[in-house]
Amino acid sequence: MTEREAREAIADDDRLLRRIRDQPEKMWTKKGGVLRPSSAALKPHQADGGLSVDVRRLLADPRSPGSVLDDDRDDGLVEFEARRPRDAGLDVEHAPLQSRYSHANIVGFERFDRAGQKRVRRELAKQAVWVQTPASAAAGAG
Amino acid sequence: MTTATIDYVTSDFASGATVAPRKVSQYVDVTQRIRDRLDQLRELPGGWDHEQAKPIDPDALRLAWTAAEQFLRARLPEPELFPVPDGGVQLEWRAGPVELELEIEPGARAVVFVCDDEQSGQQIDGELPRDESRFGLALARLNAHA
Repeated sequence: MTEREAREAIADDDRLLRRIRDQPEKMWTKKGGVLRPSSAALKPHQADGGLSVDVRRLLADPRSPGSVLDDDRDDGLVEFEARRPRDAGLDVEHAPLQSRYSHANIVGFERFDRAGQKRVRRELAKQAVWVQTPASAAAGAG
Repeated sequence: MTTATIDYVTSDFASGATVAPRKVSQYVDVTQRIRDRLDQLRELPGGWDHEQAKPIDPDALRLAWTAAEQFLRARLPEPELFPVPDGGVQLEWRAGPVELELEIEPGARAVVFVCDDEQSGQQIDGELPRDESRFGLALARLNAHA
């Protein structure tokens, strides 16, 4: 393993990025005039063993977080500090992929029962800050 | 495999100003929007989230329709519907300071809910059918502000 492939420690103040799909999958909502990702967008894939995110500091250009959206620039992008999931009882692990060095997983959801997992996802969704709003939301839909 | 059902709607909720559809024409419009949205979710292919999301499960879609229709008849607001990456469906309601999320897992094997009342600061969470009385409380809170 090269030095570049080594796993890095993720600090509490590292910002984690998560894609929020737009149309037609629409994974965001506007409640009380506030645009927010649905907690459904923060459900981990069983196969991944965690919720897939990107560590902004580890991007090729951290000033251009939209680069994680690849080919679908209409999607939204939210971020939250690594301390948020940790404070909720989860862990954050750097899990670099060959094509995505910044990739990380939020793990530990299985420590909670179903309702507890859903509560954690809802709180993360409420704490998330938009880096880029979904195109259809910016256009006034929803 | 056990299959969850939703049958917790009673008719004795407090009435009040509501965004729920009162007229037949409104009811038809809302139910059509819900059908259209469920049809949209039904068409999602695997990997719809650019990761490993599964197609939305037919049983979850059926139960989502049942729940949405029941709650509309009980004068609750129109829900928003979202796909869940594991193939489930999520319904979300907001009325005043109350928000309720109901997640139906694929195969309708479990139904989980979380509810926040921002006014009282109370959180009402649980899983059906185990926490039926708590779910009734969450619905009552939502309905009181609908």
